[in-house]
Amino acid sequence: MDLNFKIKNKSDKSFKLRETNLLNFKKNGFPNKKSEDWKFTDLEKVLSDNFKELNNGQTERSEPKTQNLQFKHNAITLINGKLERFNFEPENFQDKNLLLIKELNPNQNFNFANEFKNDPMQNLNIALNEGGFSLNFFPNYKFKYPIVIYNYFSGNFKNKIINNSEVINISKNSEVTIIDYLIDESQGNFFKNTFRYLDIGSESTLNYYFINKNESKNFFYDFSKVSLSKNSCFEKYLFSSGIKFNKSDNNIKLNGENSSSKIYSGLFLGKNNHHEIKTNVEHLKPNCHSHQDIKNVLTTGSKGVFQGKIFVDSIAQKTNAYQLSKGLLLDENSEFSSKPELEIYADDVKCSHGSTSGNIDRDALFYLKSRGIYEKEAIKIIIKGFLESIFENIKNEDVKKILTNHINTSLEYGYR
Amino acid sequence: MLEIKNLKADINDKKIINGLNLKINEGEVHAIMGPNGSGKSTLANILSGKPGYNISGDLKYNGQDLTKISIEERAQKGVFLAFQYPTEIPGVNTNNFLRTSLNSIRKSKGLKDVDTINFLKIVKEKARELSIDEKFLSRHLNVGFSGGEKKKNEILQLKILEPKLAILDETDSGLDIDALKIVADGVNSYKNKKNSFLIITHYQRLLNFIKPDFIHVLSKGKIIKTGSKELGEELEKTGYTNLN
Repeated sequence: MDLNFKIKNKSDKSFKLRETNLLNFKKNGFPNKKSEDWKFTDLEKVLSDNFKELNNGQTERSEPKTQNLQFKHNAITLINGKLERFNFEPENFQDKNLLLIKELNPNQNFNFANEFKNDPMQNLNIALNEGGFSLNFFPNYKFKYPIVIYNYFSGNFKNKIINNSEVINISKNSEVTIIDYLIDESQGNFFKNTFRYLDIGSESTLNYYFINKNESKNFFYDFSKVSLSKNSCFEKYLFSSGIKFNKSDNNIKLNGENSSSKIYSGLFLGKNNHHEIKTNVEHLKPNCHSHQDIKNVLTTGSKGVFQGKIFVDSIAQKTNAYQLSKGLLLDENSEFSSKPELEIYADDVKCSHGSTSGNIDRDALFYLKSRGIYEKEAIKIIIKGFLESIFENIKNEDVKKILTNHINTSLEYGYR
Repeated sequence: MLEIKNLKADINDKKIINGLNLKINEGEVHAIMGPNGSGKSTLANILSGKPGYNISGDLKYNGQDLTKISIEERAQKGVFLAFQYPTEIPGVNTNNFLRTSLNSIRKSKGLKDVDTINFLKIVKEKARELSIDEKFLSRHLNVGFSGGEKKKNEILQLKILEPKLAILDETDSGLDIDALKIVADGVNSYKNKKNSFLIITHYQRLLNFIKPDFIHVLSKGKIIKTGSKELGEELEKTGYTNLN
């Protein structure tokens, strides 16, 4: 695979930083299975199997078909990773006035850099960053409507790499729901490398959902760093189905006492899809709570990976951490790899983890069939139950409905 | 309705049913009693079509060879097994399951689907008859149910699906006396001249509430004695060992 990466504007003051990062990237190249973090997802191989060349040149952009979700929400539209426009529910001025949306300057030096200096994906993101957006939420406000980020890909891509960033700051005592909604209408092929920074202030709550609207033959890597202050809550729900390649890398820092992080993920993978969920949940203060529930349904030669780490610092007493990952394999060619990891330095903690993988439960299948339900339908019921059980805690009924519809659609198309 | 002739069955080369004969006519209630390991549950499983058994002999249901009918079609044709250990299915809402099941059976008979509103009416009424809290119906199928709740849920399904041949596999085990009465009342209220029951049990006590027309004693995969309901009382006193 040829890499044609060029730093565009030599006169920018960020040029040096970009150049150093590009050099660093070139030393190591894309990560492969030799790296522990990429053990089950050999990115170098995945990309070279699918791209003859990768470049960061201009893309022929086209206006996407609008795909509005049918419930009240505030909308932010991104096209090809760049901020395009935003629309607020007209009768609600407060939502509009208490949020500051900005386009990110691609030359900004993001603060993940220090910590992940030698991370090739971070190096690449800094070197070739094309910008993105930032959201700053004002304090003491509970957002009335969820914010949907319509993440469109539209236009003619050819062996493109997209590097962008997203920064979301939530001040203290606020509550926000964000739906990250991927809609890929592109032609050609691309690889997207996104770095996202979420900062959640004390007493605040962020509910973050990731859903993809349609199938995508493209390749996505997404690194999220989440920092939680005192008494704050972060909940992430991830349901993806039909994306060719997706790795979601989640680094959660429980930096404040009594903060809590919950990650729920349901994946329905088919047709050689390869998805990885990676988590690194760091308990850095006492009395924090973390919960991870990952369910993968795998068909037709797909591959699902879960690498989940829980780190408990020596001062983080009374930690309560839970992690469960399950793979439901529907054919012999599919594969589920799981690597749970615990690193605990405090002595008064409660940590539990488990991982299972297997086929459809024969007893459950017999039970349903013995009630007159045909095997095909019975299997769908079992799969649906397997996936839906992780989304039943969702409080927002509109979002729950979308997720249920997505599961149904995936079942119709993915399991025939 | 059901005619079994010289049924033999084994699983993993282990003989379990060894030349069993049984005839159940419309409207009859038969009880099968017998010690542990005599093949009672295997008989129930074979009738409902559970895979894994090697079977020979005649198994006729309304004149049709039952072994040639799939599990789901048996249910659609009116065979119902109340499980000894009902399976827990996470994530599957009990109400939705019941409706899917009822509509699959109705569809096979060329009947229209029952819509949600009418279904809820039916299910609530039947649940009330069995003293089942409505909240159970929105919980996951059998998940976290107590032993008694699971058994009641089986009888609820029986009342909703209205089978012709109901096989109750140790429905009484694990029930306290109040739950036992509710379950028995549920069965009795469903019983009529058109449907039949095969009740598998260890103990006489269920048969105090559901009066069988015949009691069979199963031992080593064979019916060794058949009698009227007095046989049950006799067995309660003398045990199974004297029969061998």
